[in-house]
Amino acid sequence: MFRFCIAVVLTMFGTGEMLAAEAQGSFVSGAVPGTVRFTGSEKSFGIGGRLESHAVLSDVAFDANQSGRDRLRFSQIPVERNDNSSQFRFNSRDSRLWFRLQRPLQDHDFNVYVETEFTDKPGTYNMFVRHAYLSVGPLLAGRSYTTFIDSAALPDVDSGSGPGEIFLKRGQLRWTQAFDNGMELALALEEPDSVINDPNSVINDPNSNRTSTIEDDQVPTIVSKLGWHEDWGQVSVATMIRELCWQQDNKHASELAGAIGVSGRLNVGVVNNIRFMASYGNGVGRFITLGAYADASLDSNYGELKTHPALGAQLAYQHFWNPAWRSTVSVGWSQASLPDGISRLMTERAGSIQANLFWSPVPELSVGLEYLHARQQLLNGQDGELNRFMLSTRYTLEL
Amino acid sequence: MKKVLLVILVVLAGCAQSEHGTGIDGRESVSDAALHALMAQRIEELYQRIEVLAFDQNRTLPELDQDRRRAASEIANSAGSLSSIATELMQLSESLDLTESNRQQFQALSQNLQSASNEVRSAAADASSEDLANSVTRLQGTCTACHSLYRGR
Repeated sequence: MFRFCIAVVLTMFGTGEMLAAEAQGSFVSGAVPGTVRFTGSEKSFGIGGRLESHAVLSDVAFDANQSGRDRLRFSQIPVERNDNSSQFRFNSRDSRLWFRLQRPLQDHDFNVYVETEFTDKPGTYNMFVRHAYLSVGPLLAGRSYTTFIDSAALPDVDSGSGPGEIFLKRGQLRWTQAFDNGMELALALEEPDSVINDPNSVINDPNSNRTSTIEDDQVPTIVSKLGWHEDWGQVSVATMIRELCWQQDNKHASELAGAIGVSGRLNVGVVNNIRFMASYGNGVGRFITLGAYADASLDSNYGELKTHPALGAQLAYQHFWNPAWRSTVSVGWSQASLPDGISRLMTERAGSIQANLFWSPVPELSVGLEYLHARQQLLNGQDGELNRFMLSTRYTLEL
Repeated sequence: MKKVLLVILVVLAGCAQSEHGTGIDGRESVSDAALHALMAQRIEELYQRIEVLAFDQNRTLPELDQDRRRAASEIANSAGSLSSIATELMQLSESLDLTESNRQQFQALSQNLQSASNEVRSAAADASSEDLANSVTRLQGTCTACHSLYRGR
């Protein structure tokens, strides 16, 4: 079975040289962990994945497509509902498969990386692409985390991204220049994807989906990030310039927006760490709180865009009780400044706290219990909260 | 890879602790205590940080590789320091109360330590697990041989 998989992979990505090596039947450890290469070939490749299973006891989140019942969707936290209903669910979302290829190319590393994830739909699962990119030395092209954040700052939690956390993946073209003193500068052009509120959409129920997406962008988002890597940890400061754009029929509106962010991880002792992320600007609303905020709203004549300045922050502490047991406590908060004239049922602020305890007798296996408390408040002052307990089991398999 | 790095830690920590405090011929030297202990502690911390990267569930594998390489590079630097200390040990042999044959043996073992350290440094820099495993095994043998013969003298 294993050789069959290798043969399939080689057929898809390999060369005659690798196929010849495969025919000889000899392969050795690759250039990076979790990969193999055939004798005589300089290409290392790896396939792997992880199986993740969740048992969830939660307050019932309203939603149209059930995503909020398994994931943390702030805009789907029930508002002023007093029925105290709860539900128990199982899901295997976040299970993943990945493939990678690595080889030297002149004086650089050449990487291909594809990672997919299973996301649950009613009665079934769909697979979608989390990451799909190639990189040659400092150049990266494809889909991955937005350059605006340092992925090392993402907390080790299972119940979803907090309101101040930026978890977006974007199609992008990124150049990262590393310097000898531990600094690196990244410049990127990224997929824009403006999210705009329609002022004339009628919303009568606070427990309904409230944001419309219109993607008619004409200019890529420009992102820059300056990072430091030192023995104490790593910190990045990033800026982003976006053109928010809407057009329909003969009408067109656009607005320049921007944001600044800081993210990083600070070592506390040897392995414990603090992870943080904060961002502010009138172009960051779509990036934080998982779509609860739009980037901008149209005026009632569809002629002008009013941006939504937003602020989000996330702080997490990870503590290793011993090599097998670890915990994370993560606190997040966000707020958007919404213009007059839009529905008063839009989310104005959100907050959450997550705490967990994981057991990993071997690095490949994690079993953990996590508690989530999340809140949202609407522009009209109404608010709601959601409590969720999640038992997670995760097993990672690599070559 | 993790096993290999663990072996490195055990070997280098063993080198450090066995020299620390006793001293060769009763002498306290920079090479004995301070540098050995600092190196061992440093390498242990780096290894532990590599180990917990396995729990960074949201980062991509190439991103994690980059962090591993960074730590491996520092392990290589520490192995380079160990190599320098081996040079000091060779020079130290002149001032020890040893017979001529023992002195030659001590110098040969110090040279072995130096070359084994250089191999570890080279393998860690290349992130090549097989080369690293072989060089660590040789380093371990060198440490054991030297300590069994000259510890406390």
